[in-house]
Amino acid sequence: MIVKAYPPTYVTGSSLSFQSGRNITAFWEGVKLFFHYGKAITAAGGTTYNYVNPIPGSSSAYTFRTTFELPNLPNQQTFNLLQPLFDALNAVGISVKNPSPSPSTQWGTSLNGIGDTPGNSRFTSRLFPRRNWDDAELWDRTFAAIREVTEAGYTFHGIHMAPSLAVGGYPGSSGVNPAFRETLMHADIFDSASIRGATPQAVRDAHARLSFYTDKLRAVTPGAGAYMNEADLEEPGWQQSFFGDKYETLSGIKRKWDARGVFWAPGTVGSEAWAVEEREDDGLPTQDGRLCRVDA
Amino acid sequence: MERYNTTVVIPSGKSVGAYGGWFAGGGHGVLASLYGLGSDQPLTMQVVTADGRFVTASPEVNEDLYYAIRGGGASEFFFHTTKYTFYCMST
Repeated sequence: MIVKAYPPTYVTGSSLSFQSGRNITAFWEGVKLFFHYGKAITAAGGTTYNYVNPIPGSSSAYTFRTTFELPNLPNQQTFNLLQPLFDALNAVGISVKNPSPSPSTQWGTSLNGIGDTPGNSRFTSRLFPRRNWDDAELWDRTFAAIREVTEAGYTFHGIHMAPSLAVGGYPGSSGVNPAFRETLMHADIFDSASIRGATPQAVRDAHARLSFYTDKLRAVTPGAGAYMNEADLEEPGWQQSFFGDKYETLSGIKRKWDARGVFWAPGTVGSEAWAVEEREDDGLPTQDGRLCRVDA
Repeated sequence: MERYNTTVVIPSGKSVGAYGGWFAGGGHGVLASLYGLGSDQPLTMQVVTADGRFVTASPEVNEDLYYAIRGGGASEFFFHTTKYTFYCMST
């Protein structure tokens, strides 16, 4: 495999966090200001990595935290880029100070071989298109949906990024989800409840509720998509959601290179031709069972 | 890549492998707004296809497979090989 390499790229990092406290109105205003500011961050070539979390045990308390990663932007310019956001946050009553940027900790550190701890909870994904930032009324509805999801007890994990076709560079055309090319933010919705040991019906109920709230995000992003690597394995309309208008083209390539369907996984191109049958019901989608052709 | 005075695009998550399912499904990281997705990085791939052939996929050879592998999803087009070469481009 031959992969592109670039000149040495140094990533400047900064961060911001606050919580709801007594002034819940200011908290949501601040979170909304931040999410909108992602447009300026991505325009500067940067990304953010953020979480809006309900505080466990409380029905109306939340925390917000984010990091900012600005490749090739020196410390002072990163500070200056972020200052208008910090000014706006202070203006709505959130007392935060623009910190001195430093090298990003997302970059170049090591866990020394220690991996992540596996979890047993579910999440969903959505790619938010740029147009949602450019239309004030749509932006209001977009943020209302984000807030509603969080108020329902889910963690909203946003990542501002803008991997447009132009940014992607040579050779351009690829099979990637076209929703990535239009996006200003990817988000995961985490259901923090563990499904370990839950009854099949409880698993289905929890998924139905998660899906109900993810639909609020889908409703404000019609025609966009989800990131297959982080999405709901039961993503509705996954062919469009994961592949957009490229699905037919990709299906043709699949038929040409794998006419007998040797390679199979849920939510992949051509996978609807097969189904796992005769398995024990645990309320979850599975690959653990007999894989049978779906009769036309 | 400090030793080689160069940068390549990889995931932010330290436990996420770079050039397997990450890039094949899209693949984002902290350089996404500057250099694009993981799927934007491969220039040539050598893979094993469903019928057991070892083939090259690039903008010149097997272009359709090259198109599909870059973002069209892991697990349905190919088996992967494991030798990586990082090729410096002038941009």
